[in-house]
Amino acid sequence: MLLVGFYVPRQQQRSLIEFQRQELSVMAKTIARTMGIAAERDQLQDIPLYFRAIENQESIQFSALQFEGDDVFITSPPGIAADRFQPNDPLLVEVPFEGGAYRGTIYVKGSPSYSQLQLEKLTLPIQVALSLVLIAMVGLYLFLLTRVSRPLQSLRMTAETLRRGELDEPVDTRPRITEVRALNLALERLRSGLKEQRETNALLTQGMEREIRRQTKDLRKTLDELKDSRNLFGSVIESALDAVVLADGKSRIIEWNRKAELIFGWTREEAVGKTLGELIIPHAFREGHSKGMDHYHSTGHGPVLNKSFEIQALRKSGEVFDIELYITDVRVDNEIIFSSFIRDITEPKKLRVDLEQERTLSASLLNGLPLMVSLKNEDLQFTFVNDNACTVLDRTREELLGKEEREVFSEDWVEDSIALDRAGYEGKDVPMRERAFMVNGREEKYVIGRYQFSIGDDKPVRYLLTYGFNITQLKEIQAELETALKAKDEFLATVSHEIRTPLHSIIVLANLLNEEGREEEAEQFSQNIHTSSQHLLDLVNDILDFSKAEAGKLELAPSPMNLDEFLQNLDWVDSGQRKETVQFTKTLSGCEGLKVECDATRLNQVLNNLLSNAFKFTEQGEVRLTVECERKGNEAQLHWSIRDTGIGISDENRDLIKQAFHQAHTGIARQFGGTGLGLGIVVRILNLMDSDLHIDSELGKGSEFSFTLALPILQTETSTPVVEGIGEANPEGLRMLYVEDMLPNQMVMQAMCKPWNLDLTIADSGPSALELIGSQPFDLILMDIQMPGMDGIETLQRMKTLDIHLPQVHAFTAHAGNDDRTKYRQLGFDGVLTKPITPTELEEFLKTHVHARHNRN
Amino acid sequence: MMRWILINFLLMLTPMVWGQDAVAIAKDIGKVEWTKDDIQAVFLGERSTWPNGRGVVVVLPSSKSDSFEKTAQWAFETDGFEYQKYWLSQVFQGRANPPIYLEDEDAVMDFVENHPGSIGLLHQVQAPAELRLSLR
Repeated sequence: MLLVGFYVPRQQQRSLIEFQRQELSVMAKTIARTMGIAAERDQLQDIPLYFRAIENQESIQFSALQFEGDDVFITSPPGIAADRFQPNDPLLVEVPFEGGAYRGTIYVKGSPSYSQLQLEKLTLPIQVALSLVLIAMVGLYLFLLTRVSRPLQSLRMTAETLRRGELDEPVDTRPRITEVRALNLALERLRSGLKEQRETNALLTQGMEREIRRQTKDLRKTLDELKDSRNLFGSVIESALDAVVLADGKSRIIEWNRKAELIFGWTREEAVGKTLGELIIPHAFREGHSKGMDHYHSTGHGPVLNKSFEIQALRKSGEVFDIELYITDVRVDNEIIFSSFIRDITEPKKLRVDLEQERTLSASLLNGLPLMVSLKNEDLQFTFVNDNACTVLDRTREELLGKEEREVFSEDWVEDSIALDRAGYEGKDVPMRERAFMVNGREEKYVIGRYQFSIGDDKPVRYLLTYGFNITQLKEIQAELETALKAKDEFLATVSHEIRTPLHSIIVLANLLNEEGREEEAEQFSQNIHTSSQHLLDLVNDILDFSKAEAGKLELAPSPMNLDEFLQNLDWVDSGQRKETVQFTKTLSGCEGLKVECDATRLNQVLNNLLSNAFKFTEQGEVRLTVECERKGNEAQLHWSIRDTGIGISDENRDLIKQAFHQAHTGIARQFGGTGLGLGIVVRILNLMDSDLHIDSELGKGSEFSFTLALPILQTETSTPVVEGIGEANPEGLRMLYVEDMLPNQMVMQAMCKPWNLDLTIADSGPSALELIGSQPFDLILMDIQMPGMDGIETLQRMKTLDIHLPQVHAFTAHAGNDDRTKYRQLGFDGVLTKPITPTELEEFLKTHVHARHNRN
Repeated sequence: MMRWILINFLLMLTPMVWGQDAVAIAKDIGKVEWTKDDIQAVFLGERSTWPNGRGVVVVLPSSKSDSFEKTAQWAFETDGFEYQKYWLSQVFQGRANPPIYLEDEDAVMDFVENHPGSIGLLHQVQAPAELRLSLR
């Protein structure tokens, strides 16, 4: 009621304010319109009419005018502060006005006291009405309280007392209201009936409680015993090292221990209640399992029961793995229970396979070794032998394993071998023994060694490893090397002899030449010195050629060769070595006018050697050179044969003499001289020419050396350009610089050049030569290569950096190979002269140089 | 007629701003010894009675005419727009009676001649001598 009294005036007040606001708005719009029209028409006199009309209204507090763009509020009455113009004021109405050029806003503020006054007029009647209603309601409340509420409360209290079981207090049956009294009488009857029933129940309850307490005690005891038994059973199963799975007759899992969880991945909660087939039996075995169960149920027997076997199982991850399984059947309370004990054998099986593979690998490795390998235990019985050992010992593995050596072998070495094995097993330092075995009918030599080792940390087991190297080939190589060394020693002795012999002549005869009274013999001595020197030169050339051939650096330099001319020039061979008792004949067939491509120098060397040998070993009779030419298309087959009537070669020495350093026997060297290199060089040159040397000989009757060359025929006649006029060229006055550090060579050059009146200057070093060419002109320079300090190559390179006209520079060196010539030309030399050089060769060179120089000028 | 030709001719010669050349005109208002400030107060609605107690009726040329601008310059020292705003606010607040707007200066002069107590503002060339208010 109070709320109504409070709410209604408030609502009324809001309505009044809204009404007042609308009224103000109408007034403001009227003013705004009036002001707009008046301002537009300059009729300001109309404004006050409306303005004054609202000024007298008690519902209006003030009004105001604000021009557009101005901050100032023009108020009526004047002096109203700006803060009175609150936008949220419900009694402040603002209306725009527009008149001509003037725009602005009209504000009209209603009087708050107006609405309050109106409200007060309404409040009093409402409050009076409400007071009357309140009084009526209080009266009604008091009536209901005394006549209805209190008797009902008494009834409720009585019912509540009965509900709580308080049945001793009787119910009051004297209320004045009839209906209430009837209710109380019914309650009293209910109370007395309940009380009687309660007393009967109490007696029954006491008897039952006694019986329950007795039975509960018995049951608790049984439960405790069962619990202990179950705990024991669970503990055993849970702590089992194997997975234990119990299943009923329908293969439904009823127990699943911790280990089973670990192995299969299923938790106990997941597994129990499931069948073995859907959980741990792989698909491949499920049908078999089902048949096995049917068989068991029909016969009472199972082939897999009560025995351990390996099979595969299924993990939760889907992996199929190997297990070892043991199944028993137990009948409990007339029901079959299968107990499965399962062991994961994945790792042991893998280890077994790995171990087997490792053993196989080790055995394969040992069997593959080119060694004889065996293992023996502490009783010195074979525990392992490799294939090589079986082969060498000529026994099978089965014959050896588990046996001692004396049980298998009866040879002399057995006892010595056992003694060494024993010493080796005990860790002593045992020497290696060389021992021969017959292997496949051939004697093989082995070096036997022994090595003791242990396996295991706690209880080490010792083994003896016996190994044998096959040293047969090494022995053969050693023998060959010893033979080769011996041959080389003989060769060195021979070479030494061959070198010393001409040197002896040269040295002695040179000394004799200086003695007085030897003038008549001087020419003979000089001739002898020349012959000895030439021999020495040939020897050195042979050694160098053989050395190159051995190093694989001997090369051919084929060039056009006129066969007629070549054979004609061979005549010089017999001039020096032919004996008067030996006749030399040449028979040529089919070679006329033939021109081929061949290294004439090397072919000449071959023939020279063979002819030289023929003359050397023939005392009388003849040496015959036969050349037969056969044309085959663009190729000429040249068959060469040198036949002599000399001492001949035995059959056993025929192939031997082809080898280096070999002569038929050392007596030959003493009798005939020579290094034994000649035939070796011949064989190697012929090999380079794709040919081979054939020897046909009979001891005491003579020999025939033959070979065939297949040479390309040159079709076009290419004539070697003939340089004319060289014979008239005169080296006299030629300004030649000879750079040479060796005094004897300087003297030789001076002696050779003396007859030609050369203007010869000698520099004994590279720096001296550089100084000389900077101070005077030269026409030709001969440069030694191997000089101390600055060698010939460096001297030439420095000469080329000088700002002078450099004449032709020729290398003058004892490095006489084709490779050397090419190398020196590439290094910038204009030509190469080889030491030693004869005066004739030097004169020829100088004349050629002078002639060429004259032609250039 | 000749007189109007002469006036117009003179007006052409006079500057557009009256300055010191403006005079107030009124009729039958008794002896008045007002200063220029007194007359300005009348044209600002601040003074509304003549010395004899009679109400003053301010007569102005139309706010759309050039003369209104000149009146504003003289009386309010601002432009016509501001002067008109001023009058709107004065009337709105009830501080002054609204002026009477006429079409032009001629109408102002005729109105003053025919309505004693009214006051207008004209150029001295245009203002008849009998209507001029002499300043003190």
